[in-house]
Amino acid sequence: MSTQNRPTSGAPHSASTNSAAPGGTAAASKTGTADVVRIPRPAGGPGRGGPFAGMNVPAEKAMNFGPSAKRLLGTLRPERAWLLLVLVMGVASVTLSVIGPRLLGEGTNLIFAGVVSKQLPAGVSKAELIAQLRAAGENQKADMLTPMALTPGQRIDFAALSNVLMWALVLYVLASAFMWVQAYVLNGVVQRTVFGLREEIEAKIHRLPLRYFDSIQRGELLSRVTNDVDNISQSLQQSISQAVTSVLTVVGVLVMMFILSPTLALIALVTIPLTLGITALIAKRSQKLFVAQWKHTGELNGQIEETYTGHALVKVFGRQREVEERFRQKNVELYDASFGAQFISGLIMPAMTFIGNLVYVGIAVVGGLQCSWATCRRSSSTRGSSPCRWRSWGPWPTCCSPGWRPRSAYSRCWTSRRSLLSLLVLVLILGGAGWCLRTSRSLTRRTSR
Amino acid sequence: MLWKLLVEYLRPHRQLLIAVVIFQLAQSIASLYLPTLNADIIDEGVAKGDTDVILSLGALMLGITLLQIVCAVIAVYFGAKAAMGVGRDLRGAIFTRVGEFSEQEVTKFGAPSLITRSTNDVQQVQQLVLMAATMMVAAPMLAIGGVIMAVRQDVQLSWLIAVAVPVLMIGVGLIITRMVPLFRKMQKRIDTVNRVLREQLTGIRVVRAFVREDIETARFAQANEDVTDTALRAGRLMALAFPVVMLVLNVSSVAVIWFGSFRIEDGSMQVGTLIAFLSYLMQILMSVMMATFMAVMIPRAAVSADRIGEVLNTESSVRPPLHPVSSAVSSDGHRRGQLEMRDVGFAYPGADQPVLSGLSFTARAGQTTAIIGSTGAGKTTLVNLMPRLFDATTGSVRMDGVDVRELHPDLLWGHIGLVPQRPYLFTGTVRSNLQYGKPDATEDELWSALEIAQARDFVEEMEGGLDAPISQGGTNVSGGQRQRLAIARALVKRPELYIFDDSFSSLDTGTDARLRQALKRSTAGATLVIIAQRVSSIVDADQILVLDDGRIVGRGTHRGLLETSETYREIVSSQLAAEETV
Repeated sequence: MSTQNRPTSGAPHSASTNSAAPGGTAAASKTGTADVVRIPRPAGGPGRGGPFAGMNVPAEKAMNFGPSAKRLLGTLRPERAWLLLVLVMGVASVTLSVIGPRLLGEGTNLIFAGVVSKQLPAGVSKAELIAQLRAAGENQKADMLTPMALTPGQRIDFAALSNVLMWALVLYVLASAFMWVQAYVLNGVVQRTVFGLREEIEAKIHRLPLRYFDSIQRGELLSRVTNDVDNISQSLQQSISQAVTSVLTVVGVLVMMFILSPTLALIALVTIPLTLGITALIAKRSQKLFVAQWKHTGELNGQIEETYTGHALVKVFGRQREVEERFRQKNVELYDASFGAQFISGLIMPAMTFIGNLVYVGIAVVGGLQCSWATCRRSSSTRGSSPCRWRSWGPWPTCCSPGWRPRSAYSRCWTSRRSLLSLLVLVLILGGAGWCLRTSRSLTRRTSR
Repeated sequence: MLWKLLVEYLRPHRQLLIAVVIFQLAQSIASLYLPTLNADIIDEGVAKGDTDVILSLGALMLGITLLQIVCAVIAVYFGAKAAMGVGRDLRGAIFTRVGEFSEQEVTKFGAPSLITRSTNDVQQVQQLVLMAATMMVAAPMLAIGGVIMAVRQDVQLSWLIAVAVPVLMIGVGLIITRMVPLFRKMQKRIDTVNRVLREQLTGIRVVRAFVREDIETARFAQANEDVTDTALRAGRLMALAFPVVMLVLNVSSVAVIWFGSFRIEDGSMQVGTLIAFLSYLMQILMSVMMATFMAVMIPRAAVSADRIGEVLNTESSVRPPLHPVSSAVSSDGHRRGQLEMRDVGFAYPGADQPVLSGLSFTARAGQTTAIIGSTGAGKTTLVNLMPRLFDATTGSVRMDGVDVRELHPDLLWGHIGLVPQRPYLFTGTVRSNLQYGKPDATEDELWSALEIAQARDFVEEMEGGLDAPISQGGTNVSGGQRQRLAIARALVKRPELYIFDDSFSSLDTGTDARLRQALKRSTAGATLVIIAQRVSSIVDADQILVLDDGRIVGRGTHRGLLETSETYREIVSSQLAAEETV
């Protein structure tokens, strides 16, 4: 295990040395402002600062996200076969999870068609009925019914419905199963990686020059090798599964939407940069705050440890007040940082909900408009002068004279209205599922700590 | 305890909490209204092809969504503020309380335990408040509101709720209840890993000196394997959680559509209503899931709260005087720094045997009083009584004739220079450590103190001299150097009473002798109390007290005691024997 890891992680170590340098100096100057003077780090020790580069003051992480991520990926290299399986399972479960709502939408459509059919007289075929309606001058109704799968007089097609829903059930069970396999395999990958990471740290401790230990507060070093490893394990598990699932879900939903209606899918497409933008913005701000939070936590814990261990000395040497004042300051600093971090990261969920609802309304509105607009343009281009009140769809657009209505335009309109319903169900269910997943993830994370 | 603690520490933030509840309520109502709007858009807009309706309802829906988001954000803002405030206040309260503790309480809890209580346990409680403010407040509102709304949509379908909710609760509950003990076990094992690492880092010099790297690495590997093993098992359970939740939610959706279709067939339900019902069911299930998770968090936070409560409810056994004597005027005309014990006894609460009993002696100014005795004789307890780190159970300890319990602590401690048995240094530099008792000490004062403490040579050799870094606890200098720095630290303070608690043990006899010579010259006029195990350190003391089993069994000079005290003779001869064998 360890021998497998060492050579691969050795390379990123040295690779990050150079790139980490600017961050390192910035961080060093930061710590220099603290009232406790600390030697930044031995400059010419064995490995030319390389070993410490990655373990340096947390502030560096924010500034060198790229190299850190690259290095993390390097650590994961021995697991790539398993990661591939995670990816495959992710693709499978997401695909099924996206098709599921589509089937539910199909089911809804069947119900919808059944509702309409029931109101029609029985014993006539659909073609006859439409012909009848047209003869009676009820072109509107005829146009509406044309694209629907109707059997006049029939009720909801329960056979078809149960068929569709049964498939949905199968898909969902399979989706959950794949999801489970994905998480199970990923768990193994992450734990093995973290195991290797700890082992590496242990090996490194025994290789580091003694002066390194002299130049750093013990609490801080401990926090790095304990808390930070825990953090890596937590975030690895989460970021990998989340990255896989979210990217795939976005792709899957888009594909599904394009199949249903390319135009409406564009709306959803518009929200992707919006989502990414908001997430990036929040992540960027919260990352800084989280780094600050960890930094302050480490420092405060260091203070607490020192004060409690040297309790008698603090008293007899009359430092109680000064120590408390220093603690109070740090405590407030930690409060500010952690409050900020919690608040900013708490923004993500409401923002996502908003975007989800935005998509829903957008699809509903544009879906409706597209329909009537297509009709009107068609009729106005044929008829030329009709004043087109396209905004008022009506039941039927008033701009078009009753005598001439191109069927193709209406059928397009109705196709899109049918898929509109499916789309809306899709957005709703996926939105709910996504929210559910995010919430339960964050809940488990918090419960597990 | 959790409840009491929360009530007490949330009270200052009650405005924030009220705001949280109000905004969470508004947020919940808004999010409960949304599915109805969704349904209307389908039923009134899409089904009828009415763009105006879609537009106006869509605008309304976006408006409501926006309102919900704003309320949610505000609630999170206030919730985070309150939670972090509680954390900050709790940490502050514990820190202040521990500051008031006497050594007795610190020993009782143990410094590491106090550290965990001030950090991790506070974190747990803080986390609970945060979760409660951001989720738990909304969960019952969403659940109850969701049930009402769903029933309003369609009563007949409501039985689905009655099935889905318990199924989800049992499923999630089963997983979590198995997961939590595993996580607890994992935490313990992570602590073990941390402990091993801590020990290695603290004792890195010892590890290197004795070439114990392989043994330590093996020990670490074992701990690492244990933690990985538990983490794997916990992770596997966790891997099961999401698929189960999703399965319950998805199967419920399918069921709603299937059973709803019959209702629609009846004509008692519309398509939009069906979808609204679906949304409400999801909301209900979500809040149930949140509540289940919260239910798991509470016991853990309660354990933490108990541990915090223990600290906060412990009164210091040493209380500052109500009417402190703020200037010690020696009543009998003695010089300042005279320490007197009158019939002093000390027993730990609940202990049968007192640690000290019937101690009476006077350590006079300008003299050296040495206390010798075997391990467990009560020497360190005696030391703790002098600067009032403990309070005597019987009798009184007097500084210049005034009971230390009546003296203002600042005044008392201002008189005393303590060199503890374990010479602890603080993170910083040699300078910051030396100035610990006298922040305005000049460079000359520091060097002269270092010279007396026989520490000048090695400090001069250190890179940076006075500004050479000192790591936490002073682990980057050798034990003997640490001891000499601790002595210099006490000397810089120039107190009237010096207490050396076994402070020469790590020094070689030559350095020990030189140090005591220099000490005698520079501290002339001050009271010296030296606790020692080595006879050679105290042969020239003006007064030697032989302590055995908490009692003074002999007193006098070295020569006198050799004749009068059996115990002293034993100690001397045993040490001579030991020195011969070395």
